[in-house]
Amino acid sequence: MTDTSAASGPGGAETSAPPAASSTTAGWRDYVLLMKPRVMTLVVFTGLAGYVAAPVAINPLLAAIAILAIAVGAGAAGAFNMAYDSDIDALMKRTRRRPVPTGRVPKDEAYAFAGVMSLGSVLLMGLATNYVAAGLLAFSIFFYCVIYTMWLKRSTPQNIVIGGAAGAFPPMIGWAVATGSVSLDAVILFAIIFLWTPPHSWALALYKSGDYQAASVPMMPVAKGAASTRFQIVIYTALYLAATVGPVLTGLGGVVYTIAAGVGGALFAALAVKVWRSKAGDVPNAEDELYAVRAGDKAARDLFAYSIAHLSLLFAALLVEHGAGAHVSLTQLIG
Amino acid sequence: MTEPTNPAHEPLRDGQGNIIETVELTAEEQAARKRRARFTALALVAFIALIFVVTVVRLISNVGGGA
Repeated sequence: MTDTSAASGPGGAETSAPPAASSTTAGWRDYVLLMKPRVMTLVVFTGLAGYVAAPVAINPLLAAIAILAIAVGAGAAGAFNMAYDSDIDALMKRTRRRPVPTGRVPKDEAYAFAGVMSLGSVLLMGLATNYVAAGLLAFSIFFYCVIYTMWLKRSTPQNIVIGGAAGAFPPMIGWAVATGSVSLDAVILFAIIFLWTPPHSWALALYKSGDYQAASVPMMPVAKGAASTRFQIVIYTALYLAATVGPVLTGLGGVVYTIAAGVGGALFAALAVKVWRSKAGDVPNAEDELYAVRAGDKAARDLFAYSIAHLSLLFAALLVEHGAGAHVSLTQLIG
Repeated sequence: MTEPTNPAHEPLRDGQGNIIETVELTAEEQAARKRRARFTALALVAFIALIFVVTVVRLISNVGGGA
């Protein structure tokens, strides 16, 4: 449940679509945009995977309501972020058409929307499942809104490294929905997303650094330079790929997961090295569209796009293995 | 953004007879407000329905578990 408004934040990148209408009054699409639907999709997906991968299940209707609560909580955090960051969003090409900077949704209204939905989602989660899941949901919303959006984002180039925790909570919440607790496997799923966030977000920041510079957001390429960012992408990629081995070691990930982590991880590493060797981000750039880049920045754009696919692939593998009964662990296969 | 409540568009006055400044909504703004109000009502009903469903499902499972 993290942002990418200035930071392609923890939890996936998101961009604003064109205004819903030429009118200055808000339409329902503006409220949907306020919830950052792209980020929400990844949050729901990883939360669902965490729930399905857990060793026990609850009533399917309650599980569906819990996933809805995760989605609403993520939307609430996104709306808060858009309200708080409307000043810098207005300065960046990628975000200037969002509902709050364009004035279609007043800032106070966005705050109220976020507050009501936050309360509703946590309340619903607590009633439908258990207080561990509700507590984790509440903490993830708090972390995203206060720790990341209000504090880290504008103050340190480590913003998305630490803030990445907010986007890493959903699978842990999904796990807690089923089990009422947090286990090693849940922590590993958290670590995977947490360590995935820096290479993912910095890849975007490399080819959108002009935007961040204009808004004075200290993203790594702006604060430490493109070369340092490219090097750190490689370091965090290594840590991320190491974390993806975790589920194989604990038996949570079976053969399908192992193939996805191995083959997909090799491609991830290759793209990260390509970024390291490239000149991506050397010249500040800020095209309008999320995936639009100049020739020199293509490696960064490719890593950014692929990182989303790889994370989705890993969690899809867990979903298939545990949801469709296709889980065969390596020890079973060897034995 | 409060709409004048008197149909004759007489200026609203406070207890001392001073005119209270009000805002006249455009037709588009009035329509938007009506849409928002309807959506808020729907969302509220949906939330109540969800709470009801959760209560019933948990009640059934608790009764079933206790039996």
